[in-house]
Amino acid sequence: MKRRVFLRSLAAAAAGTAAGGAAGRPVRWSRARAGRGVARRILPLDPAAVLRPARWAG
Amino acid sequence: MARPPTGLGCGGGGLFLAPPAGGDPGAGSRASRRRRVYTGGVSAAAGSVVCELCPRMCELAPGRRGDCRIRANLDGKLTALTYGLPCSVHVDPVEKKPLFHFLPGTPILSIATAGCTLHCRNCQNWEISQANPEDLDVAALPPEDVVALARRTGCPSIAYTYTEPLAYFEYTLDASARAREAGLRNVLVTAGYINEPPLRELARVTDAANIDLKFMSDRLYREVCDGTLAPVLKAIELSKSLGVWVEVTNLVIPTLNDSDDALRDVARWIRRTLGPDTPLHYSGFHPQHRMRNLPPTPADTLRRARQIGLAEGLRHVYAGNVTVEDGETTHCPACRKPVLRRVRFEVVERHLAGGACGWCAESIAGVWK
Repeated sequence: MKRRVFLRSLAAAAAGTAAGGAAGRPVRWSRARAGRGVARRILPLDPAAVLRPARWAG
Repeated sequence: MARPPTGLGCGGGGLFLAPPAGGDPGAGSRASRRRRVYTGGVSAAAGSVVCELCPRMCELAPGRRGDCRIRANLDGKLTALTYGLPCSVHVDPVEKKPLFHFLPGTPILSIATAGCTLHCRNCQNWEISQANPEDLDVAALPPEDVVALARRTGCPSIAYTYTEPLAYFEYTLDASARAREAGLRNVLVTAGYINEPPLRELARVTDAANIDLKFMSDRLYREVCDGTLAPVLKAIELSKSLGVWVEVTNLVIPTLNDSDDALRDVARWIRRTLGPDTPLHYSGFHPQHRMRNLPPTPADTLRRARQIGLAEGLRHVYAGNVTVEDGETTHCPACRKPVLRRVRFEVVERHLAGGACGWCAESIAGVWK
């Protein structure tokens, strides 16, 4: 399953922490932790993408 | 592991904001998320809370999320999971919202987080609106950084859009308040599925809204959107009465709401309730998400919709999302000459002077500066 992943994401590299976890430490997905999940990865904004109109409607 | 650069920069100006080096990008945001939430407090069941934001009034047992997927009961507190964590950040033309009578021709910083209070089978943005927050990549962008980014990208306004800004209410509210302080305008692009108290609070810092009126049928709202009609009508009416510039979008879906009667009902309600100067956008449907069995809306249908809207007495009726000749042109209601002509999302011809028709000086309703 998509959610059944390790939240050892680039966020750890990008921000020194994994989402919802201690700094730099891989965090295993669990049903309990999913409730606290805020993101798959927390990444820096992509300048080119920001200046492009979104592909989303609205 | 190597840390990526913390300021990507753009033109050497440090335009784009990166998560703070060495820190938890969500630390401050998480504190805020716990501070500002719409909650009815502890419900009858031990440890449960009721989210009073939208008409669903979800009762959340400990550890459970609401129907919108982004509001959860964590440790007995209702928490907005996506506060400060947008999954989409883009500079769009304001015409894309669509807003045709609000600062035309200007760029607008547009942000969204995951989640929505409705579950429309035809949602065009279902990949983010119907996603769990932990399934998406996001940026850490607290309200103050949203404002800074809008300024640096030269946007006079900020749109809370793509998904449902009323679902990530606290983020929308805080960013809007900061934007107001900075002299920026705020725009909601919303389905209007919200309870009255939070809407009243948000309207204080909202300048304009494009609100979907998907159907004039409660049955279709239930069957297609998993919602109800009455709260949406109330939200539209209330927004207008609270001084928000309101434009309404009606998505025209073949076989569901493309009959003359259905199209007329929308236009008639708008004219009677909001007034004839309220812009109405009839929008073309494209097969999406869980409604791939219906065809796209033909241009002829939208042409017919526009004629019906005008015949009902509305002064500004548009046809969009499908190419319809003059479908996106603002005509002067007095002399009928084109005041603002648009091609896709670009204003290509402008005959507007201080909010009045450049041909006959008739006043055109809108927010023009």
